[in-house]
Amino acid sequence: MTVSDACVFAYPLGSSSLRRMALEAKYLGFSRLVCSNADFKAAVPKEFAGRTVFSVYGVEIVRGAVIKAENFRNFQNQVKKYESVPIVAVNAGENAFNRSVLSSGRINILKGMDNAPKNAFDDVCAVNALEKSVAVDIDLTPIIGKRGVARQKALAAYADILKFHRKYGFMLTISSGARTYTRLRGVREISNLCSLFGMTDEETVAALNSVSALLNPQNAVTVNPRNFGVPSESGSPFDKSAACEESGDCSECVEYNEPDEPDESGEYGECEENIGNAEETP
Amino acid sequence: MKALPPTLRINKRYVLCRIVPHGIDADGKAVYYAVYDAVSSLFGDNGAAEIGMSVVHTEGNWAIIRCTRGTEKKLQAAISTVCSIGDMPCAIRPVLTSGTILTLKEKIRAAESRADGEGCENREDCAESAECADSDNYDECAECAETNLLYAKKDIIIKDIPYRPVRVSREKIDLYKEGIKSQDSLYYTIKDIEELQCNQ
Repeated sequence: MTVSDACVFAYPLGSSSLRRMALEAKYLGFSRLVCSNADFKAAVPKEFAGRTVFSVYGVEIVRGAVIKAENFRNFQNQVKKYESVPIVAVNAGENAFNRSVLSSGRINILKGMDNAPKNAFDDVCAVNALEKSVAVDIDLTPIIGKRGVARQKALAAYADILKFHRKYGFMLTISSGARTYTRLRGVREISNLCSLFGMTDEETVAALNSVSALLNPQNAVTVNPRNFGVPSESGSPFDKSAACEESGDCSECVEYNEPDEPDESGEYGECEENIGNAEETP
Repeated sequence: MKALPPTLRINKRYVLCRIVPHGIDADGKAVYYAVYDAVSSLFGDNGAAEIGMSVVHTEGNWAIIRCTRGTEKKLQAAISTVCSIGDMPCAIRPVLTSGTILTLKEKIRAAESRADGEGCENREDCAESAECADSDNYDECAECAETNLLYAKKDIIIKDIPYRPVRVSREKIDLYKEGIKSQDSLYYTIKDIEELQCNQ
């Protein structure tokens, strides 16, 4: 499991150097940081210049980018610059903008949901996020740094996102948005903060781990029809053959069927071939 | 008022916290106000009364905060939202929860003795030179002593602004700019400083 902070800003945007951030992140239990400095070159130590993924003090640093766009056209112009960046995040806007950005498939994270209008994220956005493997970011900055109405709004927005996440199953990421190492939070602290809007510990751990899934997206499962016989009338290759239906003791089906009720001796039925093998083995 | 018998007393828990950055010697009162402000703004008056927090001990960068049993998570969540003590920007990190103050004090002593003995919080990370790795005490290492002196005496110039360096550990170094109006601080590592000086 790789626990990741999905967005930090190192010096010169922040006041801590990337190495210092990595040191503190290691102490806090993180193994990956996504550094989203606009000028990434200035933030990166000289020895890692030109690289988008590298390791400092055992903490993996991944280059990220945050796009702030007013409309979709502006977004399209900006996203071209970040084609080689592993993690591209975009600040959420109005509902229509979010839908088009999510369905474009060119981003990894939708962030800034605490500042977005009330109905910015709906079920269509959730389905798009799931289909395009886009994660929705939970930024801890407003929870840690803000007080009063601003924090209340952020907590309400995150609670709504969590409801959609539970229903549709798209990915969540958690970011501290730290500009100095004192703003980084440990795994247990993040778990406590996320419990304020109803997130369970398991969900928090899954969200902290989801940057790995963004970096290594799983390919869609494809079924090769040559591996199966002629499909049955229903078209499904998993239907039982006619012979199997009649006899009911086809060896292939027995292998894949779950064990039946225990027989009189109290043992579950086993494949005859396997029984023979078991006796032979010492 | 007569004291309650032990069976009727409310059970307490104690949370050990570490204050970062290094070098903030905050007194108990300042820590109390910072944490109480965080608790009451996050959970309201009712929640604050339920938690019943109080700072029972402070020692250097450590603080022990008491709360009612069962509200430790709430207290820790509130502690995580502390961004400053007084005017100093800082963070309070909950480290350990216990039923007795003694256990936590032992933990503080163990952590401090380790820090004194090794002279470095991140020994595994920064043990680069063979001399340092072999010696039990980093202060005895000639190379480290030399660099310690180097960074203690000299101001470091970044973008034409002089910063006063304060060595936190063998690897970490904090830079402070003390002006009339404001104080600015940068958090670096020794490698960063070396890289910076090479560029200059």
